[in-house]
Amino acid sequence: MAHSMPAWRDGTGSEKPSSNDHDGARQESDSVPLWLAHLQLREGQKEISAPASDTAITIELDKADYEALSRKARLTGNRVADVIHAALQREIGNKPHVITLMRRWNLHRDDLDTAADSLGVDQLSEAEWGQIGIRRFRRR
Amino acid sequence: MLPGRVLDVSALVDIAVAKTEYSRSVAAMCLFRGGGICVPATSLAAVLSISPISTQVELFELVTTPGVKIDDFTHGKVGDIAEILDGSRDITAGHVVWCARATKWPILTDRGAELVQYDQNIEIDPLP
Repeated sequence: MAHSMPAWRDGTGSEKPSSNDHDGARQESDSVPLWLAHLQLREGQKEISAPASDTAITIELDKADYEALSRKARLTGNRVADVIHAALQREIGNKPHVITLMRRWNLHRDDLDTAADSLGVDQLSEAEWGQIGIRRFRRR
Repeated sequence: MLPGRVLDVSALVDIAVAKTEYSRSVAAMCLFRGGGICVPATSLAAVLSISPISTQVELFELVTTPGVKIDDFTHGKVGDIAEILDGSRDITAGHVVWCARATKWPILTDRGAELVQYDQNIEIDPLP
């Protein structure tokens, strides 16, 4: 999907950002500082690229998850498949960047576990901690 | 629902200087689990205005990580944010609350009680 002119520029769209919409830094190219310029989409770059060869899978969702997915698709004007694809990209494609950030900040596993509890997500497994590869151990 | 946080000024300061490791850990863990981070541009500006260059690089590392979105203060939001402010002059607070409403994510902040006064329905993740 090509990155189109945001609707608010012609006064027709709502201003609500979506939780995975990265348009904020891109909408006003004139105001983007140089140190954030690489966040902007390059001309012709697609935000969500469809796979070259599609593979069909069936996933079972409960009603709440399905409604959340549909609502997200309606809010962003995308297809449900695009929302799922974007979520996959976040889950798989972003991890190397986040691991780099974790290493840079040399985070404690205890702190990450506390953060996971606060966020309501799973704590790091041993395999994931090994993947991150920070040589720090739990505080005593 | 995917996890996420809206970062108030205090959270960004905490990420910049690592006074605690909580903000960095929450941001990193949230992104690791596929969630999102919303950085209101007004908060970022407030922090950059008081941060030495040496700590700004940490914010640069954060905002250039996929999954982190800077929410611009645009003219289309003026009415909504003015309504949130209701006479207050704290534009940053209004913008942060607006982002929390829009994303439905909690605000990572050290001034939760103050922000809740703007909207009692927002969630707060208090800094330790």
